[in-house]
Amino acid sequence: MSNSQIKSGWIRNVAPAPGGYHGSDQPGLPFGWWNANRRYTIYMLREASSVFVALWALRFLMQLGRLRRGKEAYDGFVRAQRHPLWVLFNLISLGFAALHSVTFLQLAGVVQTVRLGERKLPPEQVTAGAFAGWAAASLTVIGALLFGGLRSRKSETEEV
Amino acid sequence: MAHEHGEVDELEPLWWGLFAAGGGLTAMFTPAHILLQNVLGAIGLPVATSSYERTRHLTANPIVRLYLLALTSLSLFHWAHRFRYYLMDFGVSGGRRAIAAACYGSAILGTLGALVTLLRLPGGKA
Repeated sequence: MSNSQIKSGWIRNVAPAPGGYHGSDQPGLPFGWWNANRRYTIYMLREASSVFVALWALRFLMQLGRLRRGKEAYDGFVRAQRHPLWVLFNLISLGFAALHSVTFLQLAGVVQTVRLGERKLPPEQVTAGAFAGWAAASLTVIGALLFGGLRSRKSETEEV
Repeated sequence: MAHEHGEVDELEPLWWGLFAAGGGLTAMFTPAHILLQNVLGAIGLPVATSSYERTRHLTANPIVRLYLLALTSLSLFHWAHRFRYYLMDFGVSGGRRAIAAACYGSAILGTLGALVTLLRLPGGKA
């Protein structure tokens, strides 16, 4: 157990960490601390997922912004997204987004208390409900993206 | 987590609330969007967002726009809160106030950008 002091003068007790991480005498955490064991690595990956999720949201907004500039501009954006490097980046983003979903929804059971009248639902049931919600939401999105707006294309020739 | 007393920290419950709402919403909806739009769509599945006409048609609906505003804005607030503490995890210990202001400020700017983008979308008829 050691105390570490940071610039603001705040002193914290550093508890012995489980699973093989050994603290350092230097203030703050050593740079590679998340490499010490798998849990820490997953934790840092989970935190990183928010970067990919937010970047996706921004890119989607940029794509929608192209709608104003006409069909050419919009189709150009969509075509650019077919580049193998973009597909690779999006596969990585999908991996991070899924990691975020799994870790966040697992936590739902731990932090969210659901009461039905007098009865408190056990955490496993809350988590199961969260995953069921994920499935329902995903199906809604998939349905909207597969079938949404089809009427607007009726008079046009089908895309290959 | 240690807090200095200041405006930003008094707003902590608000930032945490936006973080949690964003975490939940993106956990439920984002993977399906990326899978369909950016992976399967990019390799040839005819999804709505690959088509100019279908996307115009769908986004003409005010409920769809509201959903997109919530999804994109809360994605940013979720990022802001996590990234703020992520920097500390990497050992950044100074400039807490500035980091918090930059993170939440970016999310607020992004939300305004999303609002403008979604309000200015063309209607359904191409």
